[in-house]
Amino acid sequence: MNMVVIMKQTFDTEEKITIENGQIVKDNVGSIMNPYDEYAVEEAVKLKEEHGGEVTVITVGPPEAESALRTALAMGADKAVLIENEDQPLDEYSIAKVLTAAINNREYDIILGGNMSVDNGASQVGPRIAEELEIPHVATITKLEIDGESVKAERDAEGDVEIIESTLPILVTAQQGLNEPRYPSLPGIMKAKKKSLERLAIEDLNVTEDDLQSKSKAVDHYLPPAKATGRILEGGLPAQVEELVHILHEETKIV
Amino acid sequence: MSNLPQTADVVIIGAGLMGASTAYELAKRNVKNIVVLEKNAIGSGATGQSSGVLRGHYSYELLTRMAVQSLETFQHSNEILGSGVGYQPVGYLFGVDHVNIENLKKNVEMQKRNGVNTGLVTMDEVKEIWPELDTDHFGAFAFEPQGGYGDPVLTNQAYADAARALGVIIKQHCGVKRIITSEDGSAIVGVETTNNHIISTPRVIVAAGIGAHHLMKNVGVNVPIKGQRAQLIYISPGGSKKNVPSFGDFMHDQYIKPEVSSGHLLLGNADHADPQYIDPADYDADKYLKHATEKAIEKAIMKFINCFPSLENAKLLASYSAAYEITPDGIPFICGTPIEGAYLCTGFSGHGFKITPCVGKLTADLILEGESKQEGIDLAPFRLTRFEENDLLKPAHPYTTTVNSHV
Amino acid sequence: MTKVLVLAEAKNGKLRNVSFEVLTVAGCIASDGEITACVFGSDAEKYSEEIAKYGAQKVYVVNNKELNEYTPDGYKQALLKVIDEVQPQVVLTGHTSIGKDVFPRVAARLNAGLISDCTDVQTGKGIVFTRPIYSGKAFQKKKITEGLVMATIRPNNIEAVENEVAGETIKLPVEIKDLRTVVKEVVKKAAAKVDLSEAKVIVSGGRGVKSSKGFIPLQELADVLGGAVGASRAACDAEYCDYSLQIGQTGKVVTPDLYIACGISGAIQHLAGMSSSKVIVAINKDPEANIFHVADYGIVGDLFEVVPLLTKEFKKVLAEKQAVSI
Repeated sequence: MNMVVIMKQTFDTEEKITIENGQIVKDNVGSIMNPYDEYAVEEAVKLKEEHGGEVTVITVGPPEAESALRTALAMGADKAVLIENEDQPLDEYSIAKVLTAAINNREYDIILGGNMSVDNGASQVGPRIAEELEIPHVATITKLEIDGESVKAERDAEGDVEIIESTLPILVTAQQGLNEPRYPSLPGIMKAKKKSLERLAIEDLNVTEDDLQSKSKAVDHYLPPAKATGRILEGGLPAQVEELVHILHEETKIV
Repeated sequence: MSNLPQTADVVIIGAGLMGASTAYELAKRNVKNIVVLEKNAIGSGATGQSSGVLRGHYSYELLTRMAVQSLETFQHSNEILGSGVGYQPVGYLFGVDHVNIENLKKNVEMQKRNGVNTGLVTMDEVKEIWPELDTDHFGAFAFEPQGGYGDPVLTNQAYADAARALGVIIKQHCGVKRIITSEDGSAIVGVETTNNHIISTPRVIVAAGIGAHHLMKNVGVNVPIKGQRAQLIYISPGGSKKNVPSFGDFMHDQYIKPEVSSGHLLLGNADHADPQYIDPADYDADKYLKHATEKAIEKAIMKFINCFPSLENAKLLASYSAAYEITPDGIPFICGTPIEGAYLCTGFSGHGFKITPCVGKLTADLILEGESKQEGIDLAPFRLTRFEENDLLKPAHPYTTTVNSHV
Repeated sequence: MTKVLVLAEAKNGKLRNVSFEVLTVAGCIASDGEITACVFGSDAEKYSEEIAKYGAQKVYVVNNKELNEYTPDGYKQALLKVIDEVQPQVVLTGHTSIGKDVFPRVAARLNAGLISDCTDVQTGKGIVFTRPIYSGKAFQKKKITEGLVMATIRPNNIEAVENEVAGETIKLPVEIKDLRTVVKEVVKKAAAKVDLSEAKVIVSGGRGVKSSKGFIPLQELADVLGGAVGASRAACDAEYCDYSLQIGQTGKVVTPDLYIACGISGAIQHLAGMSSSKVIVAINKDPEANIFHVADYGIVGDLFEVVPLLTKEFKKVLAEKQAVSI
């Protein structure tokens, strides 16, 4: 079985975000494989372990994205493809066009990706690619079973679980809980350095100028207002407890 | 800050391990009106980045003595400080290559003389201590059963709590903007906080890590201290034993600190031949790389694989970068300065945790007595002027594999 | 004149609140223009009247029973037909499991831009959408640069405002065929054991818990709140609990709606694992503990006194709420 994983290297959202001149500052901030894509890589490697075949991981990004690809290789992927793009702002529409062009040249039975990226959080690229490739998709899956050409997936629909049936070829996007991504083994990390990593320029792919013209654009970035200082409650303990429960339940409606 | 006093007998800048330990010792000796000012939170600086290894092993006799004296506090922290410090006596293993066998033997003898429970161990004994350790290429090993690790943040908290119980005021999220001297610049008169509050005091102890550099520069004293990035990786070894010892591997130049609760290992680089420095100004502005570079991660992985080749299931869990405050010779500053009343207690260069209890006592001695009252421990090697006097501490039998005096 | 089309959504026989919120956004954007809505399913016309209450002058209903369950293919075919019929400039829906699933496919088919998960809209200089990024740590303002404007709106962020108009219901015949995915079954949300990394409420214990038994009152509070129990490194190292509960730099990172820190000093290594919690409550005997610096609400006291009181009070208040909703 041939698995293609679409992956993105993102900002480590656990780090502090700073904004200068309406743009996010990227120096000195760590980059990680998008956590939802980790589930996709893990699922692809598991499929390979079960059904045999090959896992190819593709990403569009700057040269630094190589490290995320190497992590995927260390987890068990076989091939990696980096479509280099550093300066050209590409929105979801254009990225889907580029990835579709890269995938079209390859053999695939199933395409996997994370259901969203933690930096952008739009959940668009997977379904867009499925439409471009004219294949079905199931998003936010928490379970996947493949038997021959038959696909059975469990889809997280805002807490409800939908049991979906379909057939290959298909695109799926991963939700938290699909699996437990393996940590790369130390020997795996060293071996990954020798695995195939192909570098492509966007010009090498079959994309038109129109495809690369983003249909949307960010005009500003800003930080949320600073949290107000906390409050230490006063009074006897029972009174404080009553007040706290009132605040949490009636006022802020947190619980 | 409405609840900060206007005067104090001593102001300590920095509530990390050393600031808190010193505050506690001074308060124990009945010094009143001690104020400790911390710009962030307890355990937020170098303290929180320490790996927490405990050992008596040093090639410097002076540091060994300080470590021995300090171990008692880690072992009996509940009685002494009133709370636990996470002391885990998993043991401390130390290994060297063939070239350094004689150095190891001599240093172990020196350590024994100074009260360290240590001794050489055979290769078979090492296999029992850590089955997957590949002892080939190693020349010799020493083992301290009472070594291991502790929790630096818990220790910091324990000292802070004990100090507060004795009346010390500790203010977090209250930095010091500047140290104030008399008009002729010869003596301390006070400090100004970042909230523009002034505390008059004749004594300031700068236990502010890298921050000591600019604080003292502003009053005309050059403290040669800078930041050095240490890059650490956190792994799941997948080995047979959970209770492996802390390990100073001076064959591959790395150190390993275990974690009993999880079985995970922290791997640190002990090879200081290619140091990555952080400018104090960048450190203050928080503008430095806090995650480990790929190169550093690979280096650490290679060292581990070479030492434990059978651990094929070892997994990389995380990596990060710590910033140690280092001096040119890796030995701290516990000393006075040309300014009357201004003292330094900083520059622990990545190996301060284990001597914290002794440092507190020494600094208190310095302030109150002008000299060390700790048996066999002299303050002179920690003076600021040692560089211009070209009088640096030298171990009798230094290891050839390390470039920095942290062992 | 701007024509805005809204895909409305019903669940369990009722229109979802987010549909009213999206209609309100449509009203802002359309201003003097036209608001059209569409809704799918066998008896979807029953929703027309309510949809018209929020400003839709026309409601297109696609009655095919194949649309009673959501499938990307089914909804896409229906929506494309409505768009073709209405020729809107703007198409909106909620950022729900349906909206975020079908809109990207429709956008790809129409070669259109799509701005997802928006929390606000401004008109004036074109249509500018606001949306959260970096897991909510920052916001961006975005607009479509050319052609059809498509957007999904995050539920519960925009207040739905009634704007009753005389709506017209139009039944649109659409051929829905070749559905490549089939919904075999829908299993409703169950009260499963809450996983720490997904929990919306976490009650966490630190050094102050003092023993493994000390976690019992915390578990009781977590149970009442439908949450999970976490711990700081100090508690795990002291073996008061298993390492799997550890939250912090060398443990898990959590982002619950409510984090109740009991007997936790708040060292920065722990904060690294929970500082993005929406609301932080701290209970600690030490008023100087750093945790109070990041907590939204704090109680200085003994957790063994406070936590049981909280459990009792929450039990009372939540039981009252249940009674009222029946």
